[in-house]
Amino acid sequence: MGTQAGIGRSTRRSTSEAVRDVVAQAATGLGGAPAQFCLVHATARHDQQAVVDGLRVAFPGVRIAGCSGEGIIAEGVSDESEFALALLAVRSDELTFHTFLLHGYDGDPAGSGAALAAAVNGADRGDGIGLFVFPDGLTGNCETFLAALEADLARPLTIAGGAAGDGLMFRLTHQYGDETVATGALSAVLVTGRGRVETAVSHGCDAIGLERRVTRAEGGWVHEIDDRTAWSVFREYLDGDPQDLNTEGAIYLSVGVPFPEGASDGYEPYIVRTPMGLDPATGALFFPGGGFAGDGRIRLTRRDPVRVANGARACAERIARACPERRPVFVLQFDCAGRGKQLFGSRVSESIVQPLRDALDPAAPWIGFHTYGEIAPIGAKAYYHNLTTALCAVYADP
Amino acid sequence: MSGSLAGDAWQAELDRLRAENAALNEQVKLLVLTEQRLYRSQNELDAQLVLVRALALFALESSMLEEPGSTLSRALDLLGDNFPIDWAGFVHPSVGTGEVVVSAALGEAAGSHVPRAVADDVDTWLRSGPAALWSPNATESDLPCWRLLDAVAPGLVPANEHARLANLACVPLRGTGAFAPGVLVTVSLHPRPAFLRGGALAERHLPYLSLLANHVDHALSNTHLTRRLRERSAELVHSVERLESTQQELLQAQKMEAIGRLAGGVAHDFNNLLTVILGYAGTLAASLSSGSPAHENVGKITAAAQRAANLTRQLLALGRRQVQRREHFSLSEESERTVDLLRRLVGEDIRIELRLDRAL
Repeated sequence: MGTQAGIGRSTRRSTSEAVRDVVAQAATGLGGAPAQFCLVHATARHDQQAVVDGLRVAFPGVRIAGCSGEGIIAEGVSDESEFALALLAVRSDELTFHTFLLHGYDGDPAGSGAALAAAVNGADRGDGIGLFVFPDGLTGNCETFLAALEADLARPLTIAGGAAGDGLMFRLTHQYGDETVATGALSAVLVTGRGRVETAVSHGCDAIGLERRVTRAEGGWVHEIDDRTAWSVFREYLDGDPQDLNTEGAIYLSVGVPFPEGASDGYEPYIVRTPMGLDPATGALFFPGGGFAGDGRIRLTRRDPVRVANGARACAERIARACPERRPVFVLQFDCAGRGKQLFGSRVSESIVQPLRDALDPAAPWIGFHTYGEIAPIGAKAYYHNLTTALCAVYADP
Repeated sequence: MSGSLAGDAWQAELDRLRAENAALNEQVKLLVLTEQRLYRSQNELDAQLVLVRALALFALESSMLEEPGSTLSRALDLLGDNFPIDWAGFVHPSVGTGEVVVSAALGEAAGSHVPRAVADDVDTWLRSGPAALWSPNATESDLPCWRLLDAVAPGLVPANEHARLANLACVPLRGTGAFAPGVLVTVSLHPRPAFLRGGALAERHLPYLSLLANHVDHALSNTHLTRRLRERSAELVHSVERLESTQQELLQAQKMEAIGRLAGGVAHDFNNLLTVILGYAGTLAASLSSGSPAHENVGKITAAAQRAANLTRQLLALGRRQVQRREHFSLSEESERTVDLLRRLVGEDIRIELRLDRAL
């Protein structure tokens, strides 16, 4: 029977009705067969437990992964309304989906990386084709997690995903693992079997001002830039003399961390990092991606809508060129929360979703969400990014 | 000496470049700040356009909705999708009861609301046709609007420090037909990120909410008028049908009257002739000997003339020319006579049978 996948999207305020909607829509793509795996993303105002409970009732025994998001992406539509739900339901003869939920990511990202690697090593019989991870987007150092994960994996895997969001409230995000909903945790799904995963990533930011240097940092906290408090440097570039790090500022202004020499693999010169928190007492900024080790050189960066849109479309074109004769069984799009409504207003779908579908495969089941951080490989190594599109196409070999 | 000069020149050049860089950096900062303002303006404009577009679409669609419930439901969907609100409802005072009813509320089943009692001043305020208002804090206000909300959505606003985060906007509804006047109440319980979702419910939302309330009023008025127009149209069609039927009956009656008048005229003249025939037949019979063949023949002439006279009487009765009088008669004999007349009229292919009770 091959692999079938269906997509559902709903904006109903009632979670039970929304689940009913997405299940009914996704079921049409399965041709009447029961789903083996569900990837689900819900905005934070939905009753998160009711989402997974509803799916388990609709598809008894189904494996579930996913997380809450700032908004959802389904087929050609980005939806950042307060109540939005997106579902990918899959059944496959070629692919198998192994789901994991790791509690305690917020306090020990390295431990979560090692634990996930151990779990993946146990499930991967040499046929793993991709690992998708959905960590809490508010806590934990994702670079630390990724480093520990890759160090302990028995064999290299394509790793991609997105960090969970909560409607830009920056309070609490949720991660799903089968029948369980957790916070401060990490959801993951390992795909094994006959197939492959193609990924591409793009930001769309320009460096501004002179090169700067992080002069004091600890984990994801940057205390000082050029021997001044990090917040004082940031504030100079934020309009309105803000007293706190607001969403507008966090999304507009970010930091570009240069790749180590020779590691960019044709990518941009910088990986972008967005601050997600401020300690008003010390003026330190928190970057969930961390990664300020090394010589500490950085550039401040600003997002550019034209570069964002062009770069996202180029990702889809790159994947299409890599697999010209094949059609993906489904496509995952993890797009930064800072690149949605507040950058493109009411034209998000037309700017960074539908053009990608048109370029890659307009008929492919397509799901994703607006994240608090994207995870995608550059070369052979997985990185945590901000302000990017991370696009993943999953192919099955019949 | 020359080395020192070169060093000084380098230092001067370096200082100049540093100054240039610093100036450029300041210009970049200015550009960056300006760009942020531009983005903010664009986003505000875009958000306004989205609202206006949604309201225009509602105005178009709601003009085609035939059920008031569908109009209210669509209006609540629009509110939920486009405004930073957690509750919205259409609230009306009940007639003469001091109670209020919610005709529809966001996320709640239609018809699930029971009338709720409100204090006199809240009832008075509601009936007075209140102006649009916005109230930013549930804890600092004893306004009727908040107490109205407490009545129709008890427990919605928490009675703790979170109440200060709740905002309320209220816009009037004119009401029409079966849809009573009242207010559209909208509430946000907690703030949203200002940049993305326009923050919490704010005073700037009032014009849009008022516009929506106007659209709802118009749509319901249209629905009411359309419904009444349809009822009146149906009544008119029925009335026209009845008129046509009456006209047909009148025409038939006029035809019958004309025929009767004609038949009466003919019968009158014929009756005069029969009177002469019967008169002369009687005189002739008297001059003939009884039992003679000629006397018998004259008797047959007299009988035939009398039958003819009967026929003319019936025709005169049809034409209402004969004087009507009340008299006792045999129903059976009259029936036989009438049938005799009918048999001549209906033709040979119709058989008429009489079963008579001779006692009548």
